[in-house]
Amino acid sequence: MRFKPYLTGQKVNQNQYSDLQRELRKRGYSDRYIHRLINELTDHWTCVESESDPHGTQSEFTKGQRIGNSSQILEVLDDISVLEPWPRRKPVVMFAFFPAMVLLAFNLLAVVLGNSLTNTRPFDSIFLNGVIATTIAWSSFMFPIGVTIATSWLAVRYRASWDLPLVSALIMGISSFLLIKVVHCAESGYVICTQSWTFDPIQLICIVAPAALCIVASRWFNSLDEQPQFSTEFNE
Amino acid sequence: MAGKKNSKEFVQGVPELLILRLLQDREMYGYEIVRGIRLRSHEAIQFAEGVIYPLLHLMQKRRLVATRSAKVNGRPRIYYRLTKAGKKRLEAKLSDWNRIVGAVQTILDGAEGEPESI
Repeated sequence: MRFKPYLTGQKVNQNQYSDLQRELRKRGYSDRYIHRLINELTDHWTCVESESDPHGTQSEFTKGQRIGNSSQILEVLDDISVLEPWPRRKPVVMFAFFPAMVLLAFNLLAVVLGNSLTNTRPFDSIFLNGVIATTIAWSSFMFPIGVTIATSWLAVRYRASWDLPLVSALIMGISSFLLIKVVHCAESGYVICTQSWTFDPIQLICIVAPAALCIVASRWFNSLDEQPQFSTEFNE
Repeated sequence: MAGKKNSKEFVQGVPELLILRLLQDREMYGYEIVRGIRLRSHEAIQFAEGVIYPLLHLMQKRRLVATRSAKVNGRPRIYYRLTKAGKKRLEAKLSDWNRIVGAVQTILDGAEGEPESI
């Protein structure tokens, strides 16, 4: 995706900004943030042009020197990133492992709560129902994690805002629901069964809570880059 | 790691103080801030002007400044203004700054309490 610098776009040092864009993408900045930074730099460039050089005699080199090159801006961004919280510095970790960890935690909680309600030890039923039940249970358990990691990777790869992690969270929520049902079926000895396809509060928590947490986390993560809405329009 | 973070915080502190002080007067956009620093320092403080934006974005993330966008001559421009947290931060930074400058000045003046040479 290429961004068009505004107004005096042709005069803007295109190579410099395309270098900057490429490096920012490599570092994992979202398209929205890159767009904002380039627009601000472009606006700055235009102001520098109009400040002391109404006839356009100031060289591109001089203007470029004043504004700074890509490496200077990147250096500052790198310095700043040290001050940022770890999810911001490591988006891959954030999107790939956080949902998986949340899913794991909530499923474990559900197993513990579910079993404590029925006075049986956690995991007893899974391990006592044999190899097939265990395999089904664990493969079902791994499925939503796999989906989550895959969609999270896409989010990171395409510098998506919060929409892909949102999809990831929804898929995870649905998968959690299916997982619980499949585990129930495996526990009862049938791959396809009907008696457990009813809602209970714990299952609902298992579906809604991880999805909600993922959405909140990913929205928070991306809100850091949000560009403010246009509120006014005027001419100088 | 903590040492690195502290040193970065220290280096970042001065531009942040200048930006906060300028925004105390009125809202400004990036170019205006840079120009303000240059003019008020009588051209003594000059830097690659583009680096102001990552700093402003960091300050926005920390809720020290708030933004408003406007379209000027058809192109987008983002204005920054001080928030309540920004005002508090400015007061704290000014206090720190005055303390440090005072301490450094005291040393430069060869003040009392100088350790005796062995």
